[in-house]
Amino acid sequence: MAQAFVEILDPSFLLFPAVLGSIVLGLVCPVVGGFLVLRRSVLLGLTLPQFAAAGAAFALFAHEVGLVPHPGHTSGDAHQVERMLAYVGSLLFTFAGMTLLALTDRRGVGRSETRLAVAYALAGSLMILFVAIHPFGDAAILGLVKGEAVVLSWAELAALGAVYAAVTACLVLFRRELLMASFDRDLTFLLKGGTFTWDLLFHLLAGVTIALGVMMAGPLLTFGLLVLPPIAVRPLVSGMAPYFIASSLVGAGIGLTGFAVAYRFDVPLGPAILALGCGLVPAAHVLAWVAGKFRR
Amino acid sequence: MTASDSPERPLLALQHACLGYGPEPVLDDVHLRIGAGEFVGLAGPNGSGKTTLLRSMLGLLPLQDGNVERHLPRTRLGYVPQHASLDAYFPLSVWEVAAMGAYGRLRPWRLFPRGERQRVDAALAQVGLVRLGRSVFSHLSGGQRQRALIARALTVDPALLLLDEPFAGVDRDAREDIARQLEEINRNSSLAIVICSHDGDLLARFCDRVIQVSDGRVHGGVRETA
Repeated sequence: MAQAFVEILDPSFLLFPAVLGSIVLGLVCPVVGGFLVLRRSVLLGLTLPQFAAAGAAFALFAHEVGLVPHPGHTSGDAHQVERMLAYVGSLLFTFAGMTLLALTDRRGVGRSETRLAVAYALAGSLMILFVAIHPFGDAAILGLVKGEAVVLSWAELAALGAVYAAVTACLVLFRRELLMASFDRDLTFLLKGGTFTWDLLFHLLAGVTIALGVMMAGPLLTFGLLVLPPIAVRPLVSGMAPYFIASSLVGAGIGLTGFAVAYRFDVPLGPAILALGCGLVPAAHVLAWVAGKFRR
Repeated sequence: MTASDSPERPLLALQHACLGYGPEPVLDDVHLRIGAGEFVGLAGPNGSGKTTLLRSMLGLLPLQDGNVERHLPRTRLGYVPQHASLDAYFPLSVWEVAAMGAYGRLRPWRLFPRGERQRVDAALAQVGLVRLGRSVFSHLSGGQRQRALIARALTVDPALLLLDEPFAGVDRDAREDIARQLEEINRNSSLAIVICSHDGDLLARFCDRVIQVSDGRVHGGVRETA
């Protein structure tokens, strides 16, 4: 297993950009997901990636059937255009999904979990329908959305790194406001005049993170990296900085280890990372329980 | 008498206020004045509208009718909610909870300055929680959580402190402790304090005056003068 780590961390390794991409996703997604977990909006973290995936599928479908012009002349150009369109579709659908959920929330239509359940079903079915009616079917789109980050190029890694660095900078800069708006809305009203600005900022950051994450790693892996590290870490920490830092490090750790496991045992990358993350959750709870016994 | 009749300007006054959430008001024709340095209790049975009144005083709930006068900025209002209303899922330390009171004075890019740290430490010392600063807020007892929230409100550097049922879910000894600490804070700092509670006897023992909230009305909201 150690040999697998040595090989995948060698810069000459063919999939080295994808290894770095998994680490970057693992570092940033849990910080955004940490807020989703604390705000009890985990289902939002499940639903929005589905919207992002549906958006990517729609963009590729629209491109294929000519709803969007084909500017590329070579196969390389066409691939670049497809990827770019998929990014745009992913972002647009993510924000459309967030707007839909915000509007129904504002009008008090049903309960929160029923709204998210309907939105999840809608986004999931839209994605499958766009795949089904795509003239060349599954291969192009399924590869994009099923969670194999191995296709990441250096250019895409640079874009991912730049956008996620900006997201992280905003999360760090406005950490106090985002925390207060999540924990105590009344206090936020008294000290900062309201929660609207901070809720909007958080949802914008979450939308960008999720849309890009889905394009790099698919909806399931993005969801897993958003919520599994913070859920695992929460019972073990005291304080918000340790919570976010530990979540981020655990996310990067399972991203890297999952890649090594997938490489060593020739299994799909996404499920390998998620299985590791899922294993950490009960382990952390057992550890917290044992630590509690010792404290007493 | 109305707020404008008084020779001394109140910190906060409600006149002919109609308060509630739907078409039927919870409290009607409310007259209330809170002066600087006063220690006031709002007593009444559960569901009588004490929290509605408190939220209207804070500006969290708009009036349906009438006037509110606040002669202090919103950022000088200290608010202690019921500890059970805050989500215990956050792994916040006690120090972090108390530090939130300073957030209104800090720009996003600023680190937590030394002066503000000292203010947080002093607020925790005032409520006797210095030793528990690094403990997880949700691991504390009801009384300790309540004191941590009082420390947070003190960190705001308030001119008026409003507490919503601070004795709820707290044992008898801890209630006495909290009431005594608030009385001490009021005496030492001249901070005006308003406590709402259904425990009228406890309020009567510690507060300068007790306002009764019942049957959709507020009785004794304006201090009688000779």
